[in-house]
Amino acid sequence: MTAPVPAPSVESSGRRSDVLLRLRRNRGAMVGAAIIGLIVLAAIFAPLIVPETPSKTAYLSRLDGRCCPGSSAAHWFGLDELGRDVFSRVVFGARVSLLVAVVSVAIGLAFGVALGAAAGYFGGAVDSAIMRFIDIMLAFPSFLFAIGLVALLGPGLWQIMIAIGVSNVPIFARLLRGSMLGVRQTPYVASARVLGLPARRVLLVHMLPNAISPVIVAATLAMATAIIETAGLGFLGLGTADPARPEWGVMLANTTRYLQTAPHLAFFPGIAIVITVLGFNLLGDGLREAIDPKLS
Amino acid sequence: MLRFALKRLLLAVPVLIGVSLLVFAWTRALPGGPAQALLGERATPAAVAAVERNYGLDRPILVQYGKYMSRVATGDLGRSITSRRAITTELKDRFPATVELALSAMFFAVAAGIPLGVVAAKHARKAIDHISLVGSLLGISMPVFFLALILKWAFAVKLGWLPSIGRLDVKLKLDRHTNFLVLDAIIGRNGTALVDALKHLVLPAVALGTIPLAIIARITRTAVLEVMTEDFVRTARAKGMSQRIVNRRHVLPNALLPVTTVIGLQTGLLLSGAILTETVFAWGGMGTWIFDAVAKRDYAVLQGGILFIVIVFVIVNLLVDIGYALIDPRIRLR
Repeated sequence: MTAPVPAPSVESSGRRSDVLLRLRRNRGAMVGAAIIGLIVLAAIFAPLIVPETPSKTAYLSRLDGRCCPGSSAAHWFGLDELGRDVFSRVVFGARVSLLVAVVSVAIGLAFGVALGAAAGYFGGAVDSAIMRFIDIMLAFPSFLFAIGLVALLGPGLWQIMIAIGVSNVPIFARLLRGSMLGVRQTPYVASARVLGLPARRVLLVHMLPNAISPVIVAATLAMATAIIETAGLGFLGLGTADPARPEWGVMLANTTRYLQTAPHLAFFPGIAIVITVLGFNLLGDGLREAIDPKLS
Repeated sequence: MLRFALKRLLLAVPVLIGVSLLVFAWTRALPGGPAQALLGERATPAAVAAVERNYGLDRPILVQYGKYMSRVATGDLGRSITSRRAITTELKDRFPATVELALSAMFFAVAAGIPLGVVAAKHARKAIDHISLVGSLLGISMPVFFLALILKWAFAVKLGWLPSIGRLDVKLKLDRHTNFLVLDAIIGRNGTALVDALKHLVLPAVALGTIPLAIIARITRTAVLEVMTEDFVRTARAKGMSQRIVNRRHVLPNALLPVTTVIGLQTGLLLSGAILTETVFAWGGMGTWIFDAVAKRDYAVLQGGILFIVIVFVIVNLLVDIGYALIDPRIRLR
């Protein structure tokens, strides 16, 4: 039989509501949440918002040999070099960026949390082995690591998500391990161990929920980085090649040839990236301040 | 202090061995191979086998790794399969280009970021502070290649004030001693080349330096605000010192401790993270070199180039740690 050790969960639920309250009062975080909310809605309802499918080309009928007409009533963001509606492509591009951000961070979290928790909980040789592996991964700048993985796996959406996700693993693992080491010394964890609770319960119920906060903040900020890295990979020609699935970085890469005659082609996808990344950065910063009020 | 530095140096050795192993395994796992990339349409099985035999790629992978590492230990990083030049010779051309760009970017970031952070802290929670915070957030949220494109469009295409690509006007002659073009122009007392090299540096350096600028400004602001509430600052003020002297003697030196760490870490990142900036400005540095090597499956360049970047990254981090321990003795005791 195992006796319950309720203290930390009661304490942490109270702490959680405090954090949520502080987060709601943080103007920057709320602006960030609103931006993300709007972009998520735009991504979900993209087919209803845009005037035409993003892959519809009309080179001959619309461009008349000139690249590329700017804003007009029919095409708010103008047309690209193949006569495609830039507004439709920018709105649909949100789908890829958000998908990569969420899935890659989830991949990073799954492996990073598992490694960090194991290192922090077991300590000793397990900790040393995991941390040396993490050190090796951290020796690579994350974007270079992602490029290497995409080169290995080949271009494609899943490959990009895996590459960015794996490059996040050492960051989450190291952060959680540090936090777990702190939590390991607390009296409630000591009591849970003395009471003979199984290791899994001590780890999952008592340690992890109390050590995960910095990782949540890092995950929110990692979504911003993931969007920038996805666009960066696309810009280098390692993005998705599917014309029906526009991606902001690929759109930017295609515009470099037309910078002199049609700068608007670079402007709109670029601004879309900045606004989305800004949303995640604002929310991440707000979350960090809500979790550690001393920072504000 | 020496013990601390030696300990950190020893800890870096297994990391570097692990990195070399990982990079080697990665290059061998890449789809396609240098023989196919080199031969292109002429890649018959016999021709591929001949190229692989010639470069020793037909041997067991552990034998290849052992041979490679024994050569690396003597300073021989191999020869590029596509350009046929020694990697060390290529590095002498490429590395200074990236270092020149990274250092200029960091100079811009520090020169603008620290004063911006100090001014924001001095006017905390006022309009200037809010503007600086929003500016920093925008800086952090801006992809470097997008900013590079905007700068290129505005200052090179539209206004025509600055060159848009390369490191030096092709018509200019400059004796290259170090391959740091600004330094070479100074050594050769070539004023025209110096002005031209500096003009070529402005846009890439500003584009690459914007993210570190934003980070440095934010860290400086937080650090200055934190130090301003310390007891020793209050004591200095109570002793009748003017605010200016207190700021110069007590606040800034203490606030710059965390800033120096960030500067060091960001410099390491800039050295290796210049790939996108180099692509936009056709800057012949490490970034574009390694990126081309991925497409061409040039194993020697990938192994040597990435290993070199990681070694530099690890050394810069090591120097940051040692520098920080020098400034703050408490670090050594941990």
